[in-house]
Amino acid sequence: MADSHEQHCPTEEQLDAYVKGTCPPDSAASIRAHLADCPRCRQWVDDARANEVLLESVRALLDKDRPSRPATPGLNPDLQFIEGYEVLEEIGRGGMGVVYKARQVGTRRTVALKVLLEGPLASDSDRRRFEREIELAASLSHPNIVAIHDSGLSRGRYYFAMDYIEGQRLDRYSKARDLPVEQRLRLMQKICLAVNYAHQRGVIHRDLKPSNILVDTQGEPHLLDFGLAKTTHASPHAESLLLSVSGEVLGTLPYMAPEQALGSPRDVDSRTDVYTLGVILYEALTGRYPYPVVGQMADVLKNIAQAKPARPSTIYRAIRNDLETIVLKTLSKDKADRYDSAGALAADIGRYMAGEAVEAKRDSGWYVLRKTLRRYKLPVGIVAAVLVAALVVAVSMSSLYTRAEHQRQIAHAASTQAVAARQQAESTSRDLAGELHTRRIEQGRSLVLAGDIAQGEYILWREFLQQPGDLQSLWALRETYATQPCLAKALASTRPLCSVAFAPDGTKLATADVAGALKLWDVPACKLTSTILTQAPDVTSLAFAPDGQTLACISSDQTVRLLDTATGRCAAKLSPPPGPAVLTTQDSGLSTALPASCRPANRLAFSPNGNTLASCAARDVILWDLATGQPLATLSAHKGPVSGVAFSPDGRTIASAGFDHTVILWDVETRQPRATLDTHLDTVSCVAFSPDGRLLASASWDGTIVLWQTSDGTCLASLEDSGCWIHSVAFAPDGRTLAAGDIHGNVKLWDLSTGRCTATIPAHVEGLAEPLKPVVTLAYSPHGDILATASTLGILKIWDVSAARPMLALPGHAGSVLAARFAPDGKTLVSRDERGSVRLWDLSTGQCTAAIANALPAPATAPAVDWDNPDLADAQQSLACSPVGKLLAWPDGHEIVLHDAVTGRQLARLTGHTDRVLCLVFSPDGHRLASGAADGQIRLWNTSSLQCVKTHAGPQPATSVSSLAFSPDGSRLAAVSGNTIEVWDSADDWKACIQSRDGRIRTIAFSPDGHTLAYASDSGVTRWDLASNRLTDIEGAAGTTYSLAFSPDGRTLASADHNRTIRLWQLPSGRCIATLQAGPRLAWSLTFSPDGRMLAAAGAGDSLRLFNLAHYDRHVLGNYPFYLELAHRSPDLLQKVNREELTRWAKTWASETELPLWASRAAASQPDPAIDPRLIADWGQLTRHRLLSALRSLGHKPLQTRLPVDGAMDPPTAWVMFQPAQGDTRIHTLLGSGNSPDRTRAAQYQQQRLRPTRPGTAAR
Amino acid sequence: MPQEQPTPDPLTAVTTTFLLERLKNPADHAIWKTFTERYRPMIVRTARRTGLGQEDAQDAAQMALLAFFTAYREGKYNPEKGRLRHWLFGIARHWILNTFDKRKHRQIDVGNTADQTDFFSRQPADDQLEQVWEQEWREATLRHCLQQVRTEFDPRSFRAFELFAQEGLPARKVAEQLDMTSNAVFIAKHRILKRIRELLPEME
Repeated sequence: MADSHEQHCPTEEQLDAYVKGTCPPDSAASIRAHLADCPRCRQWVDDARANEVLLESVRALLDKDRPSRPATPGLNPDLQFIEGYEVLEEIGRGGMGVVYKARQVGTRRTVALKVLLEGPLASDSDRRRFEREIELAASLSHPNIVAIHDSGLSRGRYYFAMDYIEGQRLDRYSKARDLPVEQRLRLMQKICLAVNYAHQRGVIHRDLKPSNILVDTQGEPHLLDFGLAKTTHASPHAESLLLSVSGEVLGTLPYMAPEQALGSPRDVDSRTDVYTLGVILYEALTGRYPYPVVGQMADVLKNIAQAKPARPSTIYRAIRNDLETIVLKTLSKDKADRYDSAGALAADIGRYMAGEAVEAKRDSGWYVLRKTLRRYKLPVGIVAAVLVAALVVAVSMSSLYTRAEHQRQIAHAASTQAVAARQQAESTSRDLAGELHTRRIEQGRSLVLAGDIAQGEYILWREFLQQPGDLQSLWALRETYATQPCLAKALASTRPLCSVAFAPDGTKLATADVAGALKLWDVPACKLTSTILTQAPDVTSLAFAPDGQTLACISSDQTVRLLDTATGRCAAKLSPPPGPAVLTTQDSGLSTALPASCRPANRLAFSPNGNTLASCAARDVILWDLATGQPLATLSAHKGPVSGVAFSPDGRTIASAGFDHTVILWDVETRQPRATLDTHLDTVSCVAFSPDGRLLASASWDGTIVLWQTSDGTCLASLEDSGCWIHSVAFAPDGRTLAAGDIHGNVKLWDLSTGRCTATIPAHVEGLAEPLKPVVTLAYSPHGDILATASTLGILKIWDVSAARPMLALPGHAGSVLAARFAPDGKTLVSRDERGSVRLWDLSTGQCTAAIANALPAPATAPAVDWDNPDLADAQQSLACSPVGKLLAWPDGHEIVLHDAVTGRQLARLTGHTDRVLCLVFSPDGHRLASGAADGQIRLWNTSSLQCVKTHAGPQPATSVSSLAFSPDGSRLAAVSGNTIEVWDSADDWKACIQSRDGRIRTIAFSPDGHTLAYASDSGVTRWDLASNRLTDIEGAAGTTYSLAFSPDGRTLASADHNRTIRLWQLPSGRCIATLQAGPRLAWSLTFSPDGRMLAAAGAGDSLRLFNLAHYDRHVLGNYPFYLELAHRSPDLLQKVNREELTRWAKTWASETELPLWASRAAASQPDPAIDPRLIADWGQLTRHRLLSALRSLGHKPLQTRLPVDGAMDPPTAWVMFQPAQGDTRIHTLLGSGNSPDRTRAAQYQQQRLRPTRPGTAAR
Repeated sequence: MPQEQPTPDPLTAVTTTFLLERLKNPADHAIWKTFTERYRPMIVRTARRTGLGQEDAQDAAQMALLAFFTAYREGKYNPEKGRLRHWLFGIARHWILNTFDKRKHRQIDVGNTADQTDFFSRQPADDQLEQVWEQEWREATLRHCLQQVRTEFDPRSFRAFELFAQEGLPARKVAEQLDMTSNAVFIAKHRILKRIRELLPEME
């Protein structure tokens, strides 16, 4: 259509202006006149008017569609300009660089990405310094410090990625919420503690300000931007790289400390940060800066350096005296006058809030007295009198006090300097590496315990691959597998895996991915044996024929392919018969239109006799005769597509599940539907028969699993947990457990006797890449000990669901077990209880093989409640096992009884002591036996002649000798009585003697190399270096420790403490690498097996426990190929992997004989009527009060507990013993849930059968 | 996204009537794809605006489309009885609410929690939902019209429209940049907007 107007028509531009009203009035008038005559222009104008209305909508639409980043100059439009991250928007800009909100491509995690402005980081040393700074900042792991995940150089820019915190700046936060002083102080306290944490690790922030502190929605502060931090580990002459780069003075002016303002960067240390904290505190309390900060820079600097801050009380009257003093102290111009550390500041704030005397005012004795008096709230009159009297005292005391305080300060300063000097002298890079290693392991462990298992596991494996022998990483991995027992993993395919099936003989596993590649794997090692590339497009399910020779797979076009397992050849192809009743494009369109994640995976089933195959096709189930390859029958009754099919074990029934929410049971012979089961609210995704055929389970997208009785279709039970769409179910071969996989990557195990979910394995919850969901298909091995899961992320995992446990409780003793010893061959354990009976146990079966019982008769009146008598721990050496030969020795009153362990016959009785014999120990060569008794005497006996060859007085006269130990070379003997240890050598001179300064010594042990003697006392565990005579405490082992033992290789020390935990310490660092739950009873008498892989603990209440320390090594070894493979894909990790060590380690492990796998003795599922563990699901939030109230409200009677008095409980070590309401004579124990502080896991409990009590007996 | 030239798919720029007509043919797979491409994002967006997470929204959309498809093929939809958008809304609403109900049972979702909100128990108000739907529908229709119109005009005119009308650049600058007279810019804007207006009712 020609658009040219006639000459006298106005131009379109003019008309447009007219319509919009932007044209000048005279031309508007002329246009109007023209319009009267020109229909075409009139039309134009009408159209234009309508167009303008539309234009608004169009514009609005475009604004919406535009990416949300504002167009800032200098912003790189390339979304992935930092590799591995997708930039979403810019959140801030500073002198150093720009901060973006970004998404990490691999993990889809939202991070804050700080990208430094392009700059000259030219030289190698510069780069290394930067990296070191980042590493140090990354090593900070504190809830209130934003963690750095990643850093590097990408396309010429340096960047680092941190947690993305959704929150407000500190100042805005306080103002917005109008927080009262106390809450502001609390926030400040947390911030100070975080800063202190960083200082302790040698990192100074140097740029603290409220804009660097974000407070999140939970009210937790987060410190950002340690990127400007200065490290104290670097040489004092090396300035922070970033300072020289930007050239500007760091720090925003008002927060700058005087020493910074004066321009002497070398004076910057942790107290600089304290000053800044003071400014922030000042601002938080008063809303202002301490000095004027506007105006000329020179003036501001002068103010900072010289001006006194306005007293906070003048600005805001509610700030009382003490608080003001704290603030002013922090703002002192002279560093020495400030708090030494942010921690001291935090502590003083705490004291202020508690109403205690504040450190800032410490040097006035008068003040302390006054404050203390006020706390006790004495009546006024008395106060006055006391004050007057105290004044005299106070004055004289105060002078003393200040002197002492002053000296203390000097000494403290000196030691700080000495410490600093020493730190610098030590080799920094090695320390750093070790520290980083530990921190990464801690990080990995926290991630695992918090539930992010995939990430945590990966981090731990990284560390392990770099240092294969390291005990720390090994134990961290063992702990991980204790949480989720994955035996092996493999990256089966880059495409989603749709199905997994075990061969009937249980030796092989087959997986199918959507591209039609079938893979066969060896179990349980997860090694690929063969790949069959079918040409099947879009495979959905897989099944093994009962004879294991054939594999069937079905694709979305309903064609079934039968493949020979051995050769992989496609033996037959079964295509569903065409016909109007069967296949409509509608239904085929349906199955391809479904998201891949939801396509059901059970669409094939072989009959148990192998003659028939059932397959799903559109709305029908087709039965195929496998002999002829022809369809036998078509079962049509579903009103929607069929999602799954299963044969009953007797071959007489078929169950089919459909999109129409129903399950139909068919009779195979008549091919007619027998029953329609119709309770589900949504598509039924999967059906499975129990191994005995009596039950049928149907899983649905409505989040439930329903159990039906096969015979008549009655609905028996409905299992529901989280409402998540369930994708696959399978019965365990023993029929007691049901495993269900959902579309979020979790596998839940249901106990069919109780109907409860006993475990949730986060099987495939990896970092999710949208839009794939980690839908899980699963299969039980025919032996029932492993479960295979495959997900749409392409990973195959094998899980240990056997009953094997790493801890075995050996029941049978009738009283507290006093001591337990391993026989030298490591195959037998000997134990003795308080009533004198001695038992021998076979370690491979866990059975008691002999009871050498000269048991004392049971006392006439049994105590009502068995409790943990710590005095029994003194008898932990009342059983000795000869390292050679088969001699056993134990005390019987004043005498020592020697037995032959093989025949069980008594060989001799050794007499000589004048009081009860308490401890016995054989020398390493077995020739001598040393005994200690309550008479304070030590005797040495010759084991062949059975004569006493030496008598010696114990370390303390008239005090029982409680513990003895021979050095590993047999040349020395150490003895303990009371709190003294004496060591004699073979020449009979005593070599050395120490006295423990705090509490009784309970046990001693020589290290396997003989250089150290470790002792357990009431204050913890201490190591005595015999050569240098130095004592080192094991930090973290504080508290009464009852027993300890060295592992045979000398790398680990085990200790049992009053918390009922057994801890393992790495030597020589003294770091705690593992904590084992000994159970609710006190444990002592720790011994390692000769190969170091088992630990035995005897204890109160007939508890004798064996820990298989290497139980999870199978898992570690099984997962090792997968992570090694992953390492191959990451070049920077690969070069750090220590190859020779790894190969050596792997070989050693693989060759060691398998340790016995102990099945759990007690029936795993005993239905508990009394208490519902789910009631007490939230251990982390429980307080003692609430828990006890909850128990009482149920009618139970708490008897004995180990719960902290206030605050949240420490789940692993909390427990309650109670008598249940039903009058059951047994006493139950409620335990904290093992290693998991996860709030959603319910508390477990176990029953303790103690001596029968009369119902209703009172607690002790 | 609006920057690139879309590959001319003969099926993208079709009117609703045409679409519905073609959908009746069971052998036509491509039309189904077009249908979902056109309407799925709208349902997802509506679902998201009610507070569902990304995954749930996509699930709901998928189920709604399937349900529509099934019902349509069974002949349940009569164009004379009501507009497509109302009918589709009814189905979408059912599935969105359905998904809401499921969410109520779920306690802690161990999946990707990045974009989940805690709107568990909050059901979107019915008329609010309808409003949201209408808005989304209108926007989607507008988008399709734009796409269609883009194929009908020469690239230069369309670019002129984009720069002038949408981005708001002054006409002279646009004319300079694209080497056309400034009057031509106005003409382009006028014609394109008019064409969009013509197309809109057909796309509804």
